[in-house]
Amino acid sequence: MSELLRVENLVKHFAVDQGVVASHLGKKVHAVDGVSFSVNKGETLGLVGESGCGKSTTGRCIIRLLEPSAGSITFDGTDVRSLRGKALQSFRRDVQFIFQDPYASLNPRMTIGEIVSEPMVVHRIGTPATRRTRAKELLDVVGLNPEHINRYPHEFSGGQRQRIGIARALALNPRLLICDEPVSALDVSIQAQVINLLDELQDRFELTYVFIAHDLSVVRHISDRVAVMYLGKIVEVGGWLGLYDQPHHPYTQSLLSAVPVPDPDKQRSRERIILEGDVPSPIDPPTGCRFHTRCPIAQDICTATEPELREVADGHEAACHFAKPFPITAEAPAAVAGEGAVAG
Amino acid sequence: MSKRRGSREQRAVSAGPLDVEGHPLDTQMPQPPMPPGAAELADRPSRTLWGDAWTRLKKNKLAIIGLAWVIVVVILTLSADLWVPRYFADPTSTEFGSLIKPTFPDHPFGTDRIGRDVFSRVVYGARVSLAVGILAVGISLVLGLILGALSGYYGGFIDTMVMRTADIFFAFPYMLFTIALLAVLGPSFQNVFIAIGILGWPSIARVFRSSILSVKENEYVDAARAMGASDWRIMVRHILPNAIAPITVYATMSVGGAILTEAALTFLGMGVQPPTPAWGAMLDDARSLILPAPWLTIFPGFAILTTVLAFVLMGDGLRDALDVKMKD
Repeated sequence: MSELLRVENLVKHFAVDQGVVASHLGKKVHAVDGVSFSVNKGETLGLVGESGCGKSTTGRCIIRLLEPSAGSITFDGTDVRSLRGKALQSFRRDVQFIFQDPYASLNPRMTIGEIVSEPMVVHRIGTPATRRTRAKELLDVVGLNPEHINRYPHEFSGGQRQRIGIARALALNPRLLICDEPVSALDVSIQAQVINLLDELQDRFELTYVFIAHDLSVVRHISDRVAVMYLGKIVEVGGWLGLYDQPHHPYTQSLLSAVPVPDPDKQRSRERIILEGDVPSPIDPPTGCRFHTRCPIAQDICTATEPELREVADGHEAACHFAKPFPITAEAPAAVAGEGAVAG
Repeated sequence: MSKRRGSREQRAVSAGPLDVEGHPLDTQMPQPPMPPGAAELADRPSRTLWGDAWTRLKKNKLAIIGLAWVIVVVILTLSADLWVPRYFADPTSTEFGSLIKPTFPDHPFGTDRIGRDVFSRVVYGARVSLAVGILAVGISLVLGLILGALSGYYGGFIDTMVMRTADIFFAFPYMLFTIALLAVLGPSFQNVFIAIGILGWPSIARVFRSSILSVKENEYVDAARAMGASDWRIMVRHILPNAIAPITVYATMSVGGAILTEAALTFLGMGVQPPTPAWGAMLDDARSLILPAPWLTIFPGFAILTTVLAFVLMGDGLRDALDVKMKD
């Protein structure tokens, strides 16, 4: 497997104060603070974390919707941050984005045919007639009726709208898709359909995904590898199997223990790690390990020295001084989706 | 551990939500469920947002009355040359046999102090009012839309420049500013609509700017940017069509306002000059005769009132009709 995307030490700060001087010298929100990861061709990297941890900002930096403050992004050997003009346009063909809110991501004044064929118009591909044919084809691919090509977005349900967004993202045959919480705005019953669609499309079109979400069970299902973010940093990254079964970082452990178990007896008897307090402000992040303010196993060293990501098992890294495997047993939460697989 | 899980394909089947016993929900439905009545939906023509707005506007009686009145006034005015001079009188011809007389039916609205037909003058006066109203708002729209768009879309220094200039315009008392401008330009028909038009842009620019600011936060604008669309395309295809609704409402109401301003200026002698028939001038002319000859003030006054009201009602109706939140 060859590497398609590499992100190194990505930093994105937002100035709190406006103005020429204040925006450079004043307080900054450290939305993303030194994030590194890589994604191989054809695989799915899940990016999880709670609201405000910088996962969407990371996604938006990758597609250059936001300009990173520092760090490098390499896509298929080219440096994304230096792209201009034609080279940037061809990068935009290869990398597409699926947005979180299917209600806000489709222009209400355009028909779905226009929406789906717009990427082709922008990149001057085909004639109006061939674009229309392709748009119908795409609607069919994502499971919508191609006859509805002249409808407007408000005539569709949330799940259908997300399918339109996916069709638009596929229009240019991209190689990498960044999915920014594509199902979190949908009803739970529709989520599975959209996830399955994405899974199916990945096999069919050999797509690579960066899948951003805050729902661990969704990520678990679709990802090959998972990166957990906390306050602008990646705290743990590993294959889905290792990360879910043997989380090493106390934050990951507490996240997993918060997933409800659909069995009241097990739910009552299992051991849960409940975190104290709130996420600290990203304007003034804690020194040392950013998680030490809420960590159940924090020691003095955690306030002083920031832990680097280090390998704890094969292909599994955690950023914790005291990283140790925390085996999740059959009674523990991570088993939920697994039972489903057996039942199915 | 891993034996509990299937291969990738098996996992695909058990995606996401599970019911109480751990069985996956919904896996038998590759197609999203059709809403009730979806079969009929497939056949009916698609509804555009403007089409929807028209459907809602039709239900608003006051707005329709306003619209109807505007249409009547426009038709009467445009066709005036064909019938008014022939059946009533030329708006500027005088008839010294009947000065200040409410003579019906020859002069249905009576005659003024130099024997001119009031009905004819009211009908022709509408020309001036409508022309000034529409041209003035046209000028404001061109200026306001361009400046508002630059300001809202690019922000930063351009935004500051445009908005502070707008603030300066707002700082002057509107009527005094218009009068001062007309004193410089000289009172005439063109100068009236130019003055009103130039002074009207800051409000349009502000409304449009704020509308753009809210529209450009939408993810479909990000989506267009992410696919590599040009600024021009994003502006014209994505922002403009979604930001234009409040401007439509504001411009419609502004036509009424411009008509009122024109009447006031003409009343003060700073607007359209005699002998051109204009409603404001007619009121000015009849000021001293308001009690002995009330028809001289009632008819032009009524014309101003109804026309301005018609535009305001129309604008109000449009606002409700274009407001998506009030949908049915």
